Amino acid sequence: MSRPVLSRPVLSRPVLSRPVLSRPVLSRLWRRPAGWALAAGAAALLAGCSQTAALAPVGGDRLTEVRFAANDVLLQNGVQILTAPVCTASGDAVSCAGSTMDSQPIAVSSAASDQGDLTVTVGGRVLYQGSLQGVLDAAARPSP
Amino acid sequence: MSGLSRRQFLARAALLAAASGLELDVLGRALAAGADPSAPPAPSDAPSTLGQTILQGSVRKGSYRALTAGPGEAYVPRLDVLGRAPGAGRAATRRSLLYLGHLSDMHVIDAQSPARIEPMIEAGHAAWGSAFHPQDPLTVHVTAAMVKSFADLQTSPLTGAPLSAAIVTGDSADMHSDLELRWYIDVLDGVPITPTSGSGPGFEGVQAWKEATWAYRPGDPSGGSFGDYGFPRLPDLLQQAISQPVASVGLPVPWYAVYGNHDTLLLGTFGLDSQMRALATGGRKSYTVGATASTALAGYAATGSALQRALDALSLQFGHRSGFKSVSADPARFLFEQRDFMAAHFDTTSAPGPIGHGFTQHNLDSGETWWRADLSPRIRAFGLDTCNQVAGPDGAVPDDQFRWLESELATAQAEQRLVLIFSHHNSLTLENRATRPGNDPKLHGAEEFVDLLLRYPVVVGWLNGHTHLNQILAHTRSGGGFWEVTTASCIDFPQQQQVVEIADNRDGTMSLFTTVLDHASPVAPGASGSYLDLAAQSRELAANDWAETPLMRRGSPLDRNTELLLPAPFDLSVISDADLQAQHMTEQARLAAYAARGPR
Repeated sequence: MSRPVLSRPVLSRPVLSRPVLSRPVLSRLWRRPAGWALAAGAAALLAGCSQTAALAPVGGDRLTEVRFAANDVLLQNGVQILTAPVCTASGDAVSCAGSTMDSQPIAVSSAASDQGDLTVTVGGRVLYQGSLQGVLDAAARPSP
Repeated sequence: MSGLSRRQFLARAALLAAASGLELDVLGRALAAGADPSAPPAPSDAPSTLGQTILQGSVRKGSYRALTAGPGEAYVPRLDVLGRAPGAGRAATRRSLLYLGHLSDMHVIDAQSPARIEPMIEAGHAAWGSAFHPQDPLTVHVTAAMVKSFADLQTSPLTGAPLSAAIVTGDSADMHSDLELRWYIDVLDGVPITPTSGSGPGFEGVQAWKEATWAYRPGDPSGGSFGDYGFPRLPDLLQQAISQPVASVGLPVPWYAVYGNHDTLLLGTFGLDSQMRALATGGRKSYTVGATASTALAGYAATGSALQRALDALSLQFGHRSGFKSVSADPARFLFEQRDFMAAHFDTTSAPGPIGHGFTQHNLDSGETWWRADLSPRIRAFGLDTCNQVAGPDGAVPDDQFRWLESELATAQAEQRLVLIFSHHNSLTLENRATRPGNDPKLHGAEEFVDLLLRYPVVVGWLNGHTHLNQILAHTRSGGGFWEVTTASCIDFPQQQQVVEIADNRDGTMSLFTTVLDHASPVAPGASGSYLDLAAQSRELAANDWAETPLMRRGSPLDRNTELLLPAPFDLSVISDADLQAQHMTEQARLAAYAARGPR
C-alpha cells in the first residue's frame, strides 16, 4: 500500500490498515445481487445471449468508489467546487474531471494497473496520491 | 408575502377538521404554526445527521469494530447544475414547496425461509454477499426504526415545513416472499407484527445451526470466517429477533412505492421456478452450498445449459444434495407473482394511504407497473418500473414506459408542473437489456433516459436506490439540468435513508435539500431486545460485514447533506403564498391526525 507522497496530504494520520479479511478493490467489482459467479463461467459459453449478459455485477461500483474518495480529498482540502468530478471508466481505469469556483480544472485518476491507488490534482497541482481505500476508511472513522 | 386571509384560513381549517375527523380546536392548535406566512415555523430539532453522524469506532475484537458518534454535517451547496455562485440572500427568502421522505432497499427478510440461498456465500463471499448478511434476522427491526426516524422528523430540519409524502424506491421484499412483502407494508403502515415464520419454538435457520460454519452464528461464532473476524457472541439475539412483536409507529404521511429488482426476480436476479416455490413453503432448508446449488437454484439453471454446468460443478465440489435440515413448513412463505406486488399495496390501512400506494386499479387491470401522482398542486411524481423481467440485477426502461413518460413530461412542461422521477435503478445501473428468446422489446439505457429527462426543464429530481449507497449526481444541459439522488439501504451499512426538501429561493433559482437519516436506534446497541436495540445491533453487524465494503457506502459529503441548486424552470411565483399555505395546512392536518391516532 502506497502512502501519500504530497507536501499536503489529505490524511492527517497514516493510512489505516485494512481489516484482515478485506479484499482488494478489484474483487469487489462482483458484489450486490448474487449470481455472477455462475455467470462468469457461463458468459463465455453463451456469448451474445442477453440473459447471460444480464447476470453481470451491479454496475458502477468502482467508478463510485473513486468518485467518493476524490470528493473526500477535495473537501478535506477546502477546495471550492463548481463542478464535482464526473467520472468515466475505460476498462478498469477510472478518470474524472471537474472544476473549481476559480476555474481550475480538477482531475482524478485511478489506473487499471493499480486500482488501489488514487491521484487527485487541482490546477495541475497534485493534491493527493496514495491509497484509495485509505481515504474511504479515514472518512468513515473519527478524526484522531 | 400574501397568504390566506383570516376568513380563508378559518374556512380551510373547518374543511380539514371535517375531512380528518379531528376536533376543530385540536386541529387549530396544529395549524397555528402555519397561520402567519410572514413568521415561518421553526426548523425541527429532531435527530438527523445534521446533528450527529455514526462512524466506525475502535476495534473490539480481531477486526471487528464498534460504532461511535461523530459530528453532524451541515448542508454542502452543490453548484454543478446552476453553474455559478448562488445568491447570498437565498436563505432569507426561500420557501418550502415540498418536504418528502425517501426510503429505498429495505430488503425485509424472513431469515428462516427455506427459499433463501445463504450457503452460496461459501462458493464466494464477495460474489454472493447479498445471499447472506449477519444481520438478516433483524431487517424488520431496522425498517421499523427507520420509520420512527421519519416520524420523528415529520417537520423539516431546514424550514419547519410539514412532511408531505414518502416514496419507497424498491427492493422492499428481499426474496420474493409474500410474508416479507406483508411485513414491509405493515411496518410502514404502523401495524404491529412478529417477524417469524414456521411454527418452531426457536429460530429455525442457518444462524442457529452448528453445521453452518460459514455463517455468522451469534450463539457461537467460532469456527468460521465471521468468528475469525471477531464477530461477537450474542446468544439471545436470534430468539429476541423472532419472539417479540415489533410495534412500528408507522409513516405519518402517504407513501408511494415502485418495483425493485428484488420485487421482480428471485434475489433480484433469477426467474422464479416451481422448485423454488415448493422449497419456500416446504419443510427442508439447505445449509450447504452443494444442496443449494443442486436443488434450490437448479430449476433456474435448467433454463441455460452453461448455468446448469456451473451449478453441477459446485455440487460436485461441495457435495451433492446433502445438507438439508427439517424446519416447520409454512404456506405463508409462498413466493408472490409480479402482479401480487401491486395488489398487496391495496391491502393496507386507510391512513396514511393512499390505497395502492401509487398503484391504481388501472395498474391491476392493465398490468402496467408504473404510475403518476400529484404530490402537490404543482409537483408531479412519476413512479417507474425499471426492473428487468427476465434476468439480472440491473435494469432499463422499456419502450412503452419510455414513450408514456415522454408524453407525460410534455404535458407537465406545458402545465408548469415541477417533476420528480422515482425509480429503483440509477443512471449507473440502467444497461440490462436481457430479453426472452423471440421476444425482443426495445429497452432504453441510461444515456437515452437521461437525455429524455434533460429535454424537459421541469424535471428537477430523480430519486432512486439499488446500489445501497448515498450518491448524488448532476445531469446538465446548457443552462440547467436536474439532480439524481440515490439513497442508501436499510440492509447494508450505513443503513441510512433521506428526506428531500424542494425550496423556491425566490431569486430565479431553486434548491433541493437532501438530509441523511440514521434509523432511530442508539449508536451502541443495548441488550434489551427492543426493536430499537436490535436495529442498533444490525447496524453494527452490517458495519463489519466486510464482503459488502460497508464504509464506502456512506458516500462523500457531496452525497449526503446537500443543497442542490438549479435554475427555476419557470416563474415559481405562479405558486402563490396562499396556495402554498393551503397545501401546508393540509399536510399539517394529516400530521395532526397521525398524532391523534396513536399506536395501532
